Amino acid sequence: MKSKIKSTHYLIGLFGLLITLLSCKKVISLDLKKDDPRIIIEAAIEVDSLNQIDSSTQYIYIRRSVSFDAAISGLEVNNATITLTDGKDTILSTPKNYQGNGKYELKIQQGFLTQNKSYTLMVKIDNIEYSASSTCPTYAIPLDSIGVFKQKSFGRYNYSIAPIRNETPAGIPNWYQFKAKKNGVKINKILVDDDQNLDGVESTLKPIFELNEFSPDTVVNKIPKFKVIKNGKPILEDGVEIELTLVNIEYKVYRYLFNLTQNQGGRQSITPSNPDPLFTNGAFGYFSVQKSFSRKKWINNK
Amino acid sequence: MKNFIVLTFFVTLCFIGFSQNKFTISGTITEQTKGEALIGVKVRVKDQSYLVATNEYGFYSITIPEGKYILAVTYIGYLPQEKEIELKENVSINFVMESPSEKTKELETAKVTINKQDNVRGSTMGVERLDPKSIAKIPVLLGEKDIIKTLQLLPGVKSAGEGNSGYYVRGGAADQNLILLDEAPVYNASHLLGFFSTFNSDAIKDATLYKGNQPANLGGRLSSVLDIKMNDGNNQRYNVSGGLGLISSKLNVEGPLVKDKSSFLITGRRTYADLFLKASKEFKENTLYFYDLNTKLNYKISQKDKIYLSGYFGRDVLGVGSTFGIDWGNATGTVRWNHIISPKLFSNTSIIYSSYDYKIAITAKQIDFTIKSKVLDYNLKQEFQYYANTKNKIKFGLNVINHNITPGQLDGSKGLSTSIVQLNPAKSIEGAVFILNDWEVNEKFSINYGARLSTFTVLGNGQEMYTYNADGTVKSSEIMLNNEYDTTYAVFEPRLSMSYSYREDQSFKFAYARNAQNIHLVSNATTSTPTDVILGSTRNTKPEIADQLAFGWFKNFKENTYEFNAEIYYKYLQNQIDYRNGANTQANQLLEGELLYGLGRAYGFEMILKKKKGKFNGWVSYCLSKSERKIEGINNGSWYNAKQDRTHDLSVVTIYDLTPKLSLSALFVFYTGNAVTFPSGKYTIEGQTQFLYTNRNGGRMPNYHRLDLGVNWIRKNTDTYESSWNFSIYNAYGRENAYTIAFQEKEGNPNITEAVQTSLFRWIPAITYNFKFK
Repeated sequence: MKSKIKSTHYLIGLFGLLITLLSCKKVISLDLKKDDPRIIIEAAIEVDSLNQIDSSTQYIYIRRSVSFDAAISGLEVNNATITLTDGKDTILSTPKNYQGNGKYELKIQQGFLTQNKSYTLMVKIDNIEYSASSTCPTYAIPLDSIGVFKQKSFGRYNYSIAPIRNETPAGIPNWYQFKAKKNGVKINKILVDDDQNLDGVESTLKPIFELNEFSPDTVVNKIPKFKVIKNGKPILEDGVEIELTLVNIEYKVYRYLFNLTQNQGGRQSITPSNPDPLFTNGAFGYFSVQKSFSRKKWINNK
Repeated sequence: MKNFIVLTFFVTLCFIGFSQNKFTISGTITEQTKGEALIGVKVRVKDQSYLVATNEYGFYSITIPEGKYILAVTYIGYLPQEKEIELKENVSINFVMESPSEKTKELETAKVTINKQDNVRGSTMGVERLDPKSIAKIPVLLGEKDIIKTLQLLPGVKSAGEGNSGYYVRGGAADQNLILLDEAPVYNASHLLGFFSTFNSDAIKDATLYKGNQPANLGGRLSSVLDIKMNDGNNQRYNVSGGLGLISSKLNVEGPLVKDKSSFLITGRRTYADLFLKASKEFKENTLYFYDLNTKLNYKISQKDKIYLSGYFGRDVLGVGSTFGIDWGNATGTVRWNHIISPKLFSNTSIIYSSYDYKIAITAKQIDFTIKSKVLDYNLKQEFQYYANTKNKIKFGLNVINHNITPGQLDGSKGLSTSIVQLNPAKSIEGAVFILNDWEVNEKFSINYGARLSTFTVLGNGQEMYTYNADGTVKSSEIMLNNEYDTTYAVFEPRLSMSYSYREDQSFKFAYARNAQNIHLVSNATTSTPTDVILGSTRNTKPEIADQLAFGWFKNFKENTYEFNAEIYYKYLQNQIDYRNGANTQANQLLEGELLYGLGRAYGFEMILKKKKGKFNGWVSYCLSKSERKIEGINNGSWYNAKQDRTHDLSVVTIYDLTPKLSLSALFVFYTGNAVTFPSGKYTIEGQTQFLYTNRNGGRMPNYHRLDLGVNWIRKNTDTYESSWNFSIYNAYGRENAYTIAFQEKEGNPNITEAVQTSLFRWIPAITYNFKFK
């Protein structure tokens, strides 16, 4: 079994230790340039086996960007007309299908979505049309299981969660997005990976996130517990359920999302920049026709 | 008849004049207390215009007509000497320079001659020379004398930022500077992730920085060459000296193996930051230290032959318990043979070894692996120095380097990684031939001109070589056999500098140089880290090339008490490297696909005013500059600020000798913040806030400034023992200079985004105790 490791985050963590010992932090105000509001489109359309039997309802999100120091809520676009086409058939969504919070409903008929077929999405707002195309990858790689790896550092245990996927056809590159939930609550993080050097075999991909326990010294009755957020408050529980979804995506969508990951968590990327646009007329966001596989796993200290 | 006789007499006189024999005076010049060779000692024929200077190994040669002369030898800080000679044949005359004793220092000060007009008359420009003794009183972070940090106080040389010992020269990137330690390249010249430099100043004799207009015998990088020479070791008597500081200590041992013939030097340094960690319950299992060791051995085989062996070994070790560790370090070794072939011809042959490597190890119950990377160079250098006559000194030679670069090899034994990804080293051969002439046309006008032809040959290593499409995906791949020839690049590099002294104390200078660079550093973080990737030129990455023009005006006044230099420069760069937007820089074996190539330009004005004599001395240096890049795929192909672009850079260094034993010092630094990319708006995707950006490097970090204060007290100074205390405070007024700025959601209100600044080093005191047994 091969795997791919990224350990630079350990080095960065150690560097962080050094900086922590010597540094101080404060909030500052900066005189930043203000950009005009941009249209942001999130369109992830699932191709699944159910669609071959029955119709499905899927959602597209359309919002606007705001200036750096403004509140990010209240940005939705409610007057868009959306067209999804495979060059032959068309599905329409209008302001009548608007659900609130930038969310538009698309009712997709049986047999419309299949693998290895190209689709075009067109969004019209205030007489300006934004369009993009996407093809669902030919080979959709299933998620086999969820790997959990435990190690100790700085006096506490860390659990690294890594997806284990099935064997892939050799010589064909694949790209993935991962979505995770912890006790049913979505983890808001963009997680992407590829199988550079790992195609052709079943493999554990690199860990995509971590669960941290409290140090054993601080817990009740010396039994380590997991910190989870319930009703906005942190509480300790004996275990946690992880749900992991592996999404097969095409290269340009992977590249777009990867660019966004470089600035996650306040981390300064070496090349902070906007991703190469997937939509015309300067809209941001992505359109992806994709296929997903999900698994669940229960983790506790045993 | 009478007329015929007179005519014959004059013709005969002329014939005698033309056929007058010339002979060569040559030799070496060393200093008395240690026997160290002295560089740049002026040897002058009194009442004549003949003048030469000793080379890097203390050798001089001067060819003049036979006759009676007085040789005058002068060097800063030493008593001048004179010697009468009657020159009838080639002679070898060695000099031993004496420094004034402490008791007679004041009396002798008047006799000590400062090398007048060196900065005015010399043909080279854009050169800064540092003597480690001169930096002893300058206050520094944690009391650690640091030759690289001191160079950053000079015009045109800019710090790469706090916590980073890299530097930028005339708008070039940090990897465009070549650092040589006794001719061996040093690839990562920093300890503790950039807080300290690799060089222990106790082991250093001389450091010369060429800011792009280096003579033809030096090359390999676009922006500068820092040529550092180690001390040879005292061949007169044993010395033990050292220093005890807050964060590290050092010890220096040197002495003769055979008096006047052979000596050794060992200098070591170690930090003990890990001892403080052990006092903490939370961090006691962690490791954090560095050490370095400089060694040198030399042996004078005969009057004409001398052998040197020098070595450097340094290592940094960081670790988190037994789970994670990283260590990295440099090792260099130089074997050098100086041979005086004839009174006019000097030879230096060097065999050099240089390596830099890092290792990351992760060990846990389920996983266990290491990542290793290494750069290994084998280098042969041959240089001849021919003293054709008193006006012309010619250097010529060649240099061949075999590079072996392993970018990163994964080796796992269990857990997540059960297979080994073997990466063979990338191999190449870098060569250069050069010739130059230092020509003193007349008393007012001198020229240094030459040329260098550099080549770089890429060899196969038994693994795949890739080419890439414009979007960074792989276009083609081909397996190259081990040592199979792949590609060769050749660049012709002309060099010229000239000086015109229209008055004895003033001159104009001009210089032009083309430089090529085939070793590139690709950083995978916003600050320099030990795991930056070193890359040789390949099919995809062509040699970087820079053409630099510079003009300067130099003036000394008030009997050389003050020295003023002003220079302007323009540099045009080709094949500059930058990352494409959203580059995948982490553990990416196809990293070249993330690179883009284009043009660069840098221009600026530098000046320095120095006061060199008296109780109060120091300097003010200022630089006004611009550095830009233009690369297709970035900023729509328009010019944008390079990361190291900084408009203003000011340094003020002052040293006041209150008494012969007590001196006060102050250092003020100001510079414009680096160019950075800041967001101009935000939006959400996948529930996460994402930022909008406009131009790459269109923003600025806040301006940087700080004041350092220091006191140096010589407590004791006898014939057998010397001790001193040094007290300093770094950033005396506690300015919160920005180290990084990150953008994150406000705690308790994720709708709002804040800019959070991290600062380092406020009010850092240091105490160092130095001692020396004589």
